[in-house]
Amino acid sequence: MDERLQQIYNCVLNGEMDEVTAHIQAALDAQLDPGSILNQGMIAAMQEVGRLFEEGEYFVPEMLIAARTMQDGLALLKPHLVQANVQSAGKVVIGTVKGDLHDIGKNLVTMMLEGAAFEIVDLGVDVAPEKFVEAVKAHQPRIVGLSALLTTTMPSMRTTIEALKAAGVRDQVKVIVGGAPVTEAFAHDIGADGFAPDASRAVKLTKSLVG
Amino acid sequence: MNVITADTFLPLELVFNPNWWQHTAGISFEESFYLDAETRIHNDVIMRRTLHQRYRDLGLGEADPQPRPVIGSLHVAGGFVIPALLGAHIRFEAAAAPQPEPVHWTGAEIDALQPFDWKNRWPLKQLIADMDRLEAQYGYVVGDLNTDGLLNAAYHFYGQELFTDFYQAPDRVRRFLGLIGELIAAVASYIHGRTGSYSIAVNRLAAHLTPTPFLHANCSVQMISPKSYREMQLPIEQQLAERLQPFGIHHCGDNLQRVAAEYARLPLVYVEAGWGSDVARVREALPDVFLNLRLSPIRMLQCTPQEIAHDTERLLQATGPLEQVGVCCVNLDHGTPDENLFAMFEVIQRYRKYGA
Repeated sequence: MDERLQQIYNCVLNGEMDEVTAHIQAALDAQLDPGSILNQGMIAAMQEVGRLFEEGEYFVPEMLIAARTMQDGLALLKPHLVQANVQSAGKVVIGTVKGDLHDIGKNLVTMMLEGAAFEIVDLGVDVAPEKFVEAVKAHQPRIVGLSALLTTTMPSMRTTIEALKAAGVRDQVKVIVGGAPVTEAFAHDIGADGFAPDASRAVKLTKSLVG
Repeated sequence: MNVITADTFLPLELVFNPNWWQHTAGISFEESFYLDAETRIHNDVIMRRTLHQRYRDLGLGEADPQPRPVIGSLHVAGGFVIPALLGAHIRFEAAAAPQPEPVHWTGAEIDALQPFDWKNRWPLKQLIADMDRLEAQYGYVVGDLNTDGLLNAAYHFYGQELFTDFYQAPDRVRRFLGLIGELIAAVASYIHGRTGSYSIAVNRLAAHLTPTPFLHANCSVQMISPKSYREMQLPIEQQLAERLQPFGIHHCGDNLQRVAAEYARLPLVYVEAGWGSDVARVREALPDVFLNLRLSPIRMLQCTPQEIAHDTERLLQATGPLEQVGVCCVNLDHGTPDENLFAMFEVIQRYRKYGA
């Protein structure tokens, strides 16, 4: 790998927020392709972050700070990606379902998806089914992500999927679900298209669903 | 050696969530459930009677419960008092545990926090007035409050910046956690002084132990590395443990074994092992503590009695000697088959009869 891309990779992997933009600027100044900076430098680093999280080497703080570093770098890189016509991996509407105020799991998934070049519409927490429907109509995402931490709010996932069906937009999107009490069997039971047990595997699932 | 003793070999406790209670006994978990003395006392009687009618064979509840001056619910878990004292708005719902609404202070607001007169803030001001009145009426008060945990409480005010500041502003995090620790210690000590118990409202299994341990709720520790725990939280927890004895930890995450060696640096007498933890490795790291094994309420809701019996058996087998061990399942939801609870109980009864 080009040494400059390796430095960007290391910055994201190690969460070196103060240094990442300088390295990206240096790479841009050296006429490196923005798509290569994104894919080989930053997205590859976030994939490694995900692997380390799955292995129990990285925890939430390390994952968050790497993702924040990625976001800082993306802010600088984005105009160059647009100019070079580099497309996002797809659009994802995401939120914690109605009745549930927990956000950390949803935020981790959001950041890891951004780190994989997905475009995110984050609806926040305690999101009513009709808000998801509105967001699908307004933003035309390929994926809808539903998060819940409580057994008592898991039924809101089913309600949300039913609302998408009732609005006639269910077939336009793939619905993925996650959260501490959620299981593969529950996801299947409520008619979701996929389940992921953590943020890293949510990225893999999303990639597989958008083809 | 451990300084707490259990009232029986392999004590068992089940804690049902508000959704279960509402469907089963019609109890509403609005604000009055926690903060109105008459409602609390009335519901406490219903809950003890309901448990006996349904689970007398498991040793739960009372046949003829009499009103008692209870100051906090002894039958559900749900920490809101510490976030409320710090200024969070609490969302109460009829069939759900109370949820502190996120506040997300700025760094400057976090830095500005100072110790405050918590006895004159909601909800303690109201609860203390209740305690005074009930004590005058009954001559005593019972129960306690769930005093939450350092990271749990901090997250409501800090948001995910809490975790990035582990690296970017660690002194800010340490100071904030220290202030929350002071508040937890002060409130828990006060309640213990009034009622003699600390943490039945964290996990009812505490009621089976003498003396009742203080339980620090480390639900969020599963999200950080042992190194982060050691650097950010352990020193504050060590101070808490000096003040709140006997000291125990509620660790509901599935990775207790990862942090058990760090917990061994505390004067610890009790720890809860979240479902999925490697209990054999936990026992190696913490050979003398009372180990409360948590079964999964999700599996209890979704699995067959055979699977639950297998879970229970496997957990007990993996733990090793069972002299300092209890079993619980917390947050059991409406729809949990009673057959699953009885399947778990049958395994425990067998171990009680024949020993480990």
